[in-house]
Amino acid sequence: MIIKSKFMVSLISIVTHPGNIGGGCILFSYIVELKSTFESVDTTVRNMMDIISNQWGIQSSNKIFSLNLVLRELLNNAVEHGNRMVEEKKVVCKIVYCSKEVCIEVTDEGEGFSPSELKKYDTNDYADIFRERGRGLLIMRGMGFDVSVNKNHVTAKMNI
Amino acid sequence: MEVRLDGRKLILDIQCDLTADRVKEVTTKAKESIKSMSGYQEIVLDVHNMTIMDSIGVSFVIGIFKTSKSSGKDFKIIGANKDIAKLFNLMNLDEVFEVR
Repeated sequence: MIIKSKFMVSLISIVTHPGNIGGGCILFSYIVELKSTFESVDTTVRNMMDIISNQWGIQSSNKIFSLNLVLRELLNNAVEHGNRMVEEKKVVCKIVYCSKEVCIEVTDEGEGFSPSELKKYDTNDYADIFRERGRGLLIMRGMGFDVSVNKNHVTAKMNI
Repeated sequence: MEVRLDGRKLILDIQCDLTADRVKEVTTKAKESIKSMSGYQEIVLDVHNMTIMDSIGVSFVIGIFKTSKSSGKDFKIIGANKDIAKLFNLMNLDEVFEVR
């Protein structure tokens, strides 16, 4: 199912009713494609959080906050750094909730990067605390997500 | 964003989430207010209406902090919910300025 939206977001697939795929796993999933603007990121995340909080049974307010924040960090990075804010370039975001684990996968159209290329963030170093940008990975890991990167494809997982 | 002077405090009441899509507009308004107002000794960011802030929102906060320090003013944040406060704590920013 593809739904075009005036908010530059195309909903590709959504499973909002629990589907038992065996082994006791109740599966929810949401896949969306968005253009590379911060406005589309905001619209996408608000839509996703509406589904997640109302239909997926995730109740804890701090887990909801963590999901909201990490989705934004992943999508902002894809839009800004992956696709260089070129609006027509697409970002695809997939979120799956199964057996108490949430897995978010984001793919952009950029060349990709390696985390080793990023300067490490030291929260005890004032120069780092006050740096202009570069907090995204720290925030995602601090929120309890395990983040891995494969070129232009980033995966973030957390046990809920 | 609403701006008001309360004694010697310049209060910037953010009234929205500080996310990437909104930061540019909020930054413009904040800078205009800081520049045009006078007689204050402290800049206070009121975030009681804020439910989410991303790393670009954090960069905005740091920018306002740097601006206040460079002009000899104090700076603090009020109205942070526990999730927002935890975010500042994650980056050790609550050791640099007060977060309430």
